[in-house]
Amino acid sequence: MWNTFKYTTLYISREREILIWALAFPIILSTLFSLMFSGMDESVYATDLGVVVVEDEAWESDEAAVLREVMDAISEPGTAADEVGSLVAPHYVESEEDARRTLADTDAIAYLIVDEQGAPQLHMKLDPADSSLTQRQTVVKTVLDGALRTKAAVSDAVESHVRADVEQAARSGAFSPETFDVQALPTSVENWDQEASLSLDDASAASDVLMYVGIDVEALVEQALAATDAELTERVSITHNKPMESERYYYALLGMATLFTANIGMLGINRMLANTSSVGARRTLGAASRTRVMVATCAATWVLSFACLLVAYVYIRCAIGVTFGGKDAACVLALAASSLAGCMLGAFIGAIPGVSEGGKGGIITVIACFGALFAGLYGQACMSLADHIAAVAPWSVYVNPASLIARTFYSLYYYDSMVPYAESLAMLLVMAVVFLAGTALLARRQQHEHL
Amino acid sequence: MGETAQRTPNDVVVEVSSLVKRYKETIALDHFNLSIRRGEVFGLLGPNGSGKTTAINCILQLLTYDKGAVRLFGEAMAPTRYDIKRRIGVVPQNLAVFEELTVRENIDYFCALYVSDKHRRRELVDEAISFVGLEGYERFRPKKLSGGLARRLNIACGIAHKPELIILDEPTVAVDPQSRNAILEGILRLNSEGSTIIYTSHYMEEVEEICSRIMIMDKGRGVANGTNAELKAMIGTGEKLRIQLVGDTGAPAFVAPLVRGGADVGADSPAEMEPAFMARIRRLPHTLRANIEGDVLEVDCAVGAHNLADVLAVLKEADVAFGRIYAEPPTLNDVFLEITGTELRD
Repeated sequence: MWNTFKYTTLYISREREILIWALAFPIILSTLFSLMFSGMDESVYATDLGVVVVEDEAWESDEAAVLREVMDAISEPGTAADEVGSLVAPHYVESEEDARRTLADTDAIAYLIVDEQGAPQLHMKLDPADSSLTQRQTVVKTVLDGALRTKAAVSDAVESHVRADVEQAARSGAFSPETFDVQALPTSVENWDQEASLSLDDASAASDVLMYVGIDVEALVEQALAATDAELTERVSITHNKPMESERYYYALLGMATLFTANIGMLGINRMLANTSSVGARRTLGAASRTRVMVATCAATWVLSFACLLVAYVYIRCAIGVTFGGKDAACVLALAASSLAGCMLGAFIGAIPGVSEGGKGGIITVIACFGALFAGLYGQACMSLADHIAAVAPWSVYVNPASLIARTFYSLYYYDSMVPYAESLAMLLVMAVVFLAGTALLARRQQHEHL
Repeated sequence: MGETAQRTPNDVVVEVSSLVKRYKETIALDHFNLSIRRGEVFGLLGPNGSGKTTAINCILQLLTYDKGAVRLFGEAMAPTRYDIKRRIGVVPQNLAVFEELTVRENIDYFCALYVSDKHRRRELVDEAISFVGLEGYERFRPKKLSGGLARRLNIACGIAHKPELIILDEPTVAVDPQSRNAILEGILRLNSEGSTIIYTSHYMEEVEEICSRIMIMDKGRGVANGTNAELKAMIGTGEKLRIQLVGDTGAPAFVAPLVRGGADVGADSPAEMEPAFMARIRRLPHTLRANIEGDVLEVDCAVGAHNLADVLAVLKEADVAFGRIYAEPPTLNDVFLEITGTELRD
């Protein structure tokens, strides 16, 4: 068994084509990626967008409270996790005239003023020479519109909720001192005024309060809204790493590289079985158990595949500078599972009788190229297509090893939870087991009719 | 060789009974029987497609078969009988080695399929390299070897573990004469060291040269089985006479008798152009077949004392001049021809 392992490792590692595809290919392609994507990650971020804000009476009014919150939130510096700066760099002025002047004299892209009704007016700078100006202005407008829409939706929900509570309180008889039941009070009514320090043990006092509420429901609603305003807009980070568009391409690249290492598995099994090669036939005649030879062959091909991917990973991580979320141990585990799945795919193809070694290599190349296509390796359009397919047919990820491998690294990078990563890892192992079972079945069913 | 040999009761190493192998409608082996005794160099001779390799693959359990039984060393053979496989060495028809491994690594790997002890294996590999004459080529990869040397490597990989039974499937195909001789000498040496040999070939000269017993195969059946002499005794041909005919004017020999005999010179069919003396030769008591190929008169005769003298007398009477005369014993091709009606070389 050891000799089979040793010599399988030796003869495959001396195959020049294998070394080119499994070892050199990911290194060369990742180097090209690093040159192609050098400005990509910077261009996708909108930071420190200059916005002039007219800080007049309307801005200080209650109607503009939401806008003030939004502006404060988006001008905060980024969190340590995402390492992204603030979205806007506000420049406060006292009048609209000052705002116009500042807009013209500085890099600011728009000025914001609140009208008498409390509605925000965003005035954009016009500069045909600046092609990205509209994009940046759109970002600011989108954020402000979103905040206002959120405010409107929250207000509607709060008002609706409070009115329903009051109605329920009225129906329960809470407004009658004789039948007042403290336990029947809805929470929002019960806490209508945080500063009233209402004693619910005192039924008479509570009833008086409720009578008051019943007379002026609008006041209750406004109070509830005022309570929600403070937490309406907050800057949060939805990922624990700085989102990097280019990272996904390296994940897809690792997916494709894994599929190319399937050649290693293919070669190992193709030269082990009697029906697929003359050297396999000779080995079958040996006095070593076929199961042991197969286990040793699979182990050798896995170790080689894993080693190739590990070299690629170290290069991408250290030389190219792709962070992989900094979870190296989990990444290495993902590489081990990926190489196992890729290797077993190759073994399965290697066990197909009646196809030459070159033909099997061709099958793997086709699978690798198509797999990489649906993993989004070939550019933005391809990445969008991959995302679209994954959204429409989520199962497609589980039949494409390249997509699954890319998703494994993706989930490790973007999600706070390790569950998506563990799920992807488990699916890779399932895939490996399925291919191994298929290989064993093909190897078992062979009757060497083509010798 | 054969150091672990265990004598079976009747000393039969290979016993194949009524083996039938079909490929859809084609019958590759048709109730094939074979019995090989210990110490023999057994030749399986037959044209391409006669079933030699199929028979070997069935014996080795590389092929399933439809009917029949295979017993090796007195025990039923099965794909998982690794104890039996350990006693067999196979040299396949094709070069079956790893192109990426060196000569020594290849021999060591295939030897390791039978021998796990590292030190013992080192000795065996050294002996195998020396046996096939690959000293100095240990670090070469097969691609760097000539065709003959590569064949020797192929043999070394099959015999390094010193098997009791060695099966060589056409090991001299596409090999230069020097390497071919070395291979044949090596096979005889292996046999002298105790190994039983099964040698398949469609080169009858090789089989005649080294095999102690021969089976002639045709269409999946063993059509004749015996020693070289026994096989030749099975047929009527005792000797083959080859006489070069020479005309007076230097023209093809058979034309002169035609002219002198007053036959129709303008006739163009072979039957009409055949000289009259041929009928007389065919009527000789020991003549089996007679015909003219070019300027050579070919006469196959039964065993007899005066065959050549009788034929030459007829030629003299017909006033036919002749040059070189050859008298050859029958070959295995003649045996095959007489039994099957077709040439072995077809």
